Amino acid sequence: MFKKYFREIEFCTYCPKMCKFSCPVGNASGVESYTPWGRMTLLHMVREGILDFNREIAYTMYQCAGCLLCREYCDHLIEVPPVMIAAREMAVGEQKEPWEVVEFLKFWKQHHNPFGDNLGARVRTLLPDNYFNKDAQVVYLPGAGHIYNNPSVIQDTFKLFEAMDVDYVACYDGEPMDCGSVLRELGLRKEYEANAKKLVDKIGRCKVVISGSPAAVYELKVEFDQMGLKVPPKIFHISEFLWPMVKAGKFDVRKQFPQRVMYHDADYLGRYLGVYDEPRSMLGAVLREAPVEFSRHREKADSCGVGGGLPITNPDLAKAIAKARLEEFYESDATALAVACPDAQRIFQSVDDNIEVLDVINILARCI
Amino acid sequence: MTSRFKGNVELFHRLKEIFGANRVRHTSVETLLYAQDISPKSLIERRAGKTPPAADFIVRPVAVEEVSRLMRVADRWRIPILPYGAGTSRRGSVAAIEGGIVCDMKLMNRVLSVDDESLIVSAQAGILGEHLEHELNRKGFTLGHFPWNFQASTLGGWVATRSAGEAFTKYGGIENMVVSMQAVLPDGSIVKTRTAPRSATGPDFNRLLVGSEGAIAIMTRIKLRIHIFYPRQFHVAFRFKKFADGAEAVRKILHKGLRPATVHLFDKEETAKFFADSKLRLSGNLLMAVFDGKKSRAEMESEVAARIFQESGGESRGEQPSQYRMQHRFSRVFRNSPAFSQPGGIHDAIEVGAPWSCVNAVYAKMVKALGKRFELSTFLNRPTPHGAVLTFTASTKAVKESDEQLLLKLWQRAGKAAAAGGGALLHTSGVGLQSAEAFAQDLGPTHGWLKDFKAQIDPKRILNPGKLGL
Repeated sequence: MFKKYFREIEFCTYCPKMCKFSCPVGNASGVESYTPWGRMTLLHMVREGILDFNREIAYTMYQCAGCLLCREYCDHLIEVPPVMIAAREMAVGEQKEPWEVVEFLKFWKQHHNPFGDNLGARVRTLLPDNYFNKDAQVVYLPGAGHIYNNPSVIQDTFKLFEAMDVDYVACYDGEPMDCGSVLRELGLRKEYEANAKKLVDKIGRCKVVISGSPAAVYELKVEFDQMGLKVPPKIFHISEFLWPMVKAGKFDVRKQFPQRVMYHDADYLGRYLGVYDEPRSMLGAVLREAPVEFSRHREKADSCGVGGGLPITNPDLAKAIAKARLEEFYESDATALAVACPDAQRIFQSVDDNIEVLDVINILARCI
Repeated sequence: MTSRFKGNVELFHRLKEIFGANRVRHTSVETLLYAQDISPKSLIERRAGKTPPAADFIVRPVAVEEVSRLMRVADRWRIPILPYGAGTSRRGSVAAIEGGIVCDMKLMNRVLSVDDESLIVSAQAGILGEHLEHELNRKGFTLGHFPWNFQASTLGGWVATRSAGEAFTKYGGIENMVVSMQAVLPDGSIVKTRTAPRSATGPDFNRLLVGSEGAIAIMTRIKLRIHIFYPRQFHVAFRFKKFADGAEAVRKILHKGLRPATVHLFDKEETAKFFADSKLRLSGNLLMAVFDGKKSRAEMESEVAARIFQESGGESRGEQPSQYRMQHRFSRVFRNSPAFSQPGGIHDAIEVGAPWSCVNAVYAKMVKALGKRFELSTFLNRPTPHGAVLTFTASTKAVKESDEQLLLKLWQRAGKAAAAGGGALLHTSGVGLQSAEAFAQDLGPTHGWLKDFKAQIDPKRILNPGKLGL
């Protein structure tokens, strides 16, 4: 990894911490070693033989939310998260990973997803049988987070399909149900690749895959592809799939959504996949006024702290980041927070269950 | 040097009582990281695999009372306290030469109040500069303080190092912004200076603490003057045949009473470097000015400035160069990484302050002294009616000398050339450890007064020992 990421480690080590202010983990913890500069400088010292790659340094490599916000403020466009993931793989290889990762792996081996329960069985209880077709060419891959935490998004997605006369999309209900992004983020490469191959065995034959989970879309579209797996030729986030139809007038807005809504850009959907306009446009179709924007939005949106496996390795810090993001929501006149990511929805709701956090799909479905 | 406090269990438990286990750290991984700053000297040492002297503990207070209790512990144990903001000193200000406890202020990072009637903000010292300005902008205000490390420095760091930003011409340095502050003295007492627009009663204690580099007190809360934020800016850019002509044009607009927020006069080398990645085809000595504030006034000022620049021999280049510069204003700092990543490469910025009568002489002498040995580019900035700052960016690859020798040579040559031209080195980012000797020489006998004052207020030399030559 030191050879592969030589430039990244060098440039960050000698940088006067220009992205420091943007790092959600650094900001929430106040710990210097948790900033991009801190983590990369530690790797530099390991590379130069000044420090051993011990458990403490390994743990520090896990203090990254993988949000990519640091890249947005870097003239050299350095991407820190891939370096952290490589360092985590090294930690796992040397059996220096935090105990939380060890425990997570045990859990994963038992359930094949981060939530427990049989998610495939759960999905089948959500929709009528006719929505499942193993031979379908166009498949909706439910996000594991949606299945476990907010299954109404899956039901509402098919309500919207019906409303727009989309009758060719079938719901996936096989095993595995999870794309395994958390495995990759935690440095569990072997298990990640095994899971990826299994998933591609099931859906690789499809022509189109749609998902409400930005992480799933990213894994299929970018990571699986880079692994050389045969992924479906077209992979969309649900907002990318639906917006052209909404725009074409196939969605009949019976009633407008009555609340003021603020929209949060999820890390994977935004900075990883570059999808910013579609969720906003969909909201625009049903809201009385344009969604309220955070002062830092789109490419510069602050993270909600749910990425990078942080809720597993440092849940308190992950929640502190989500809480910090919500401060501006509290100050605004919005009464609902819209997201287009099951993980963002989960973490926001976990820090404050008094606020209404809705998926964009839920909002649209309420306007049919 | 091994600190006498390393592994001191009793002290560790005492600190845990104050801060809780989560906010006390002591491992060598952490302490070594906190000892690193980003001065060229430190970066050269880092490249050579050398490690700086590190502290024994790191604590992260969340309240002024905790800082006060920490001081009392330090007093009892006679252990140094090293106030820490973002750790972006360029002068070795975070080096723990006698070990000690790093007091990382970054969890004291809140904007406490914005008095929109008096235009005063109250904020905790550990807030990062960018966060403070962002919060103010959201509420319709600006501090107007944009030092080179704006994105990676704290309010406390700004005040402690008497920093000045690129909008100095209009908004002044941090010393002009401070209204009052709360600070903790080495005996643990919490002091507050008075919040008044101005006071005629005795010495100004704010001024005593501004620039004190954590050697006299730890600032915990600061009240600052703020301004109405007008997002619209008016940009002008003019090309001059000679650097001196551009400098003269700047002097003229300031003497006419115009107050641009920022003024930058790039010499042709700086223009070539700065705009290398832009689509704008620019060359020569480029003068750029930004006017902000109420639209009617800012627009009018920019028009008057443009007319004077033209009359002074400038050739208009429109608004784009200045807009581009504003958008990429911190890009110069990013040159650090590629420079130091090369074996033997060094990169440093030397700032020289000069009255207008000496600006051209300083520029000429510095270019002559450094231009052959170093890859040099220069820009004039932060002008006032009385003078300006010339920033010389020098980089090179070491050939015969060691990196340290080369860096020393750079500063020695610069010091002589600046003095010969009638200017003075400004020791950017404060004095710290690395400029302590030069600072003491500059001050002459008055450095002794400073030492006496330090001895009175901090008899056990607890606070940031060695910095400011104290």
